[in-house]
Amino acid sequence: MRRALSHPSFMIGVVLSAAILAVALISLVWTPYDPGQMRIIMRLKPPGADFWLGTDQFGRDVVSMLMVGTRNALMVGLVAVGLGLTAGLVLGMLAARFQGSFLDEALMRSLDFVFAFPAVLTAILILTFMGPGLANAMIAIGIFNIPVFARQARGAALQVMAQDYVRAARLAGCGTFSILRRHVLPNIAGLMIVQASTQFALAILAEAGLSYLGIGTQPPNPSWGRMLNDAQTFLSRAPLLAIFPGAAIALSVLAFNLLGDGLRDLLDPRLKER
Amino acid sequence: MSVILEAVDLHRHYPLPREGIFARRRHVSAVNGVSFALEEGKVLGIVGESGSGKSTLARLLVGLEAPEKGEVRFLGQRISGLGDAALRPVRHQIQMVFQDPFGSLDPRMRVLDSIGEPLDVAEPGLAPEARRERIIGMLERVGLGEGALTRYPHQFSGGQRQRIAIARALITHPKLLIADEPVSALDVSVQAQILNLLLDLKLEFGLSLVFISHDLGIVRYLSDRVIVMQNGKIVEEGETEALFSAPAEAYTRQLIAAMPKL
Amino acid sequence: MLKVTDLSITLGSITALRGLNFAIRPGETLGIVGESGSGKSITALAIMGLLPKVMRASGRIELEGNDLLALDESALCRSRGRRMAMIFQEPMTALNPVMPIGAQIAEGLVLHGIMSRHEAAEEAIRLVGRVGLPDPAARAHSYPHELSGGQRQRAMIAMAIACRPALLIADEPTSALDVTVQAEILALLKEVREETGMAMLFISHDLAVISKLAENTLVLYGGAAMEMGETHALLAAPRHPYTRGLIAAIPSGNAHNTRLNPIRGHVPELAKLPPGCPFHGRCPLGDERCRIERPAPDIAETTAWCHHAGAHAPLAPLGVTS
Repeated sequence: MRRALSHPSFMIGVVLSAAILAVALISLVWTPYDPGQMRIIMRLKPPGADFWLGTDQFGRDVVSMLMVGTRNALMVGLVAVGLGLTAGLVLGMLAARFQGSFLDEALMRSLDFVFAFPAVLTAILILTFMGPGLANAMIAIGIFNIPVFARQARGAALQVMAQDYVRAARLAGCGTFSILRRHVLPNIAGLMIVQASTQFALAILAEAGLSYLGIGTQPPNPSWGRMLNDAQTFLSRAPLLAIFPGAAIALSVLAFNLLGDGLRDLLDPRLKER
Repeated sequence: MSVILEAVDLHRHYPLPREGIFARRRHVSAVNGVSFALEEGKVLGIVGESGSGKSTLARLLVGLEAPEKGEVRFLGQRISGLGDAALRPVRHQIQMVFQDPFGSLDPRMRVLDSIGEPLDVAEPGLAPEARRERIIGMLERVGLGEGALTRYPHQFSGGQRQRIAIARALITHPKLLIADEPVSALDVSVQAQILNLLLDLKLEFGLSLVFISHDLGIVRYLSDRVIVMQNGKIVEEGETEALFSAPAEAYTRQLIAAMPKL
Repeated sequence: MLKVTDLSITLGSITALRGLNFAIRPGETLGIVGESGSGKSITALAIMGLLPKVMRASGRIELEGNDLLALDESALCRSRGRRMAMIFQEPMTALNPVMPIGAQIAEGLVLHGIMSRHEAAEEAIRLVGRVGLPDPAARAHSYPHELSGGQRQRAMIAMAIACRPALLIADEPTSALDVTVQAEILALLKEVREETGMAMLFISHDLAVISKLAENTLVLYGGAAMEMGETHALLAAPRHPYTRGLIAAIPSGNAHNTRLNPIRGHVPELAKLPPGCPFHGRCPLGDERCRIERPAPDIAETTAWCHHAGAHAPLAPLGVTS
């Protein structure tokens, strides 16, 4: 605990992530204005007392849109990482348990195949098949997260399974699945949590990218990526419109990366001593 | 005296990493035609240097690995080459103590659950109170108190952890214990304690023991019979005192001569 | 050659080493024996000036008249490798995996300005041959992973003696090796010492290994000296209960006729040691005075830091500690 408090980047990550989460939660019950409400006469207002960060080309309140966008971004991260983590853990641990078997080879090679394509390209490919939309974007991002988690889970599980305590459990008569659940999973959980927070940041970035391209979150739902796209047209007249969502993306990616780095340092058993 | 454990012409090879995709896979043999018999209630010492195949032999004997050729018999029944499920009925009769007391206990499991694990499999219907009693009894038997129950492995010293590992191995009252270098990771002043503990428990539980070590002094101290291994083969076998006082093979003599004495 | 006076090492509030004194003359070997936490490896690191930054050392460490603790980092660097060298338990981690061993041996010679690059390369080949590696000219181009454990330790020794240091520190150099290889390495160290006349500090957990090489032995426990003296005297008639216990814990013979008599208890954590003798609590002779008061050296055939060393006649080495 003391170590956590004296780890500056971890603490910055925690505070930022908590703030982002708080904004998302508040947006569920309150935003300054309805984020979808258009007021043509109020369009492209600079920041001021009524509209803290100004309005966009349809007169929508930027603060409200950013807040709801935060909620969307977090939801994408949560679902995509949840999907990738669950599927990756199961596949990775199975591959590790049956290391060298046909199952292992088949799994790892097919994951290599997914890996071989740039992540965003994979997502675009999936979305062209399934059609654009927030839900499909989450699934698409989740799918390209699977190999990342599967590989790490497999490597970590192999390391744990080479330990004598797993041998001892086998000698005690424990079955494969009880060993995976009781010994392997708890011992690789820390590593997976670290990876999850890094992937969370990447998922937010991917959602912004897909929405920017118009195949992610669909109107009227606000999204940081789409706000960025919209702002492009008015870059010379209202540059702030691009800066705010850009800053939101950068800040949240930074927050979750710092969180991940900090967790890695804190959970590293070699550094656990004092 | 009846034979409790028998090894018949055991062979085990490991594949070497392929040198190219089309290169033929080459193998290194770790255990190459090992046969012996252990009588009930006796201690068999297996001594050898690194690469002699003694640890592979240990894993073959307890069924963690299967031999390519030959078989392991426990009380006359073949146990090698069976799957984990088929082995389960005899599992709790054959247990093992490992070299590294920092690797043989799950760091995230309390001592209570570590020791209880074999018990849960062997006697699934055991009431929690009875289970706890059994575990405390075993802990006290290896020289640790009830206070150890809720603590985690990293809160113990190496010697204490090895005591926990021994308690865990003996909780189901096995007939046979395989100990692979159980004291070589321990401090000198603690080694002797663990050796004596193994001897006491052997008498108390009527255990038969296979004791594997690179340390000739320790093997001599503990064993009734000794096997000397080199490159996966048995070089010499005999009664302990006879073998140490009049070694027949050059390699055995070389080992004894190289052993530092006070 | 090497004179250590009142060396203490602390880590925060924990005392890792309490007021150690010893000296080694040229061509002589001092063996330090101890278990985990005894302070034997920290002593070696302190002499080499390689203590972790969080640890503080006080006292004097004099090598050829210079106080090493008073030297600054650059001066220390100059004497490290040149005037003193160290070999470790695991040569694989002490050797650079991506550099041929010949180049690693030559590096020190060039770095300390003793030889030109060309001369150093030739000297490296000579040294590779000297430490008993076959076909030295070819072996000098080998990488560490191409050598066996024993061969790597030989390469480490070649590296350590390249600059003809006045002091060689060997920290458990044979503990990871097979017995037959261990015997060879010990013989090599003996030869090299006689050839170069360097002083040696040999650290091990194994009294038997130390007795092969060291004229004098220092027994450490819990960061404090227990007993020091001429090795033969110390083994034949140990005067400290800990030394007696340590010897009694080494198996000789079979349990049927000679049952071992182990020291009771386990090696304590440094933070939990009593203010007096660290062995108090495990010692069969320990009393209240032992717990509170640091024993003064009791000098006879050996020097024993024990309140009871004088009172008891030395027991036979394998005798039972009452």
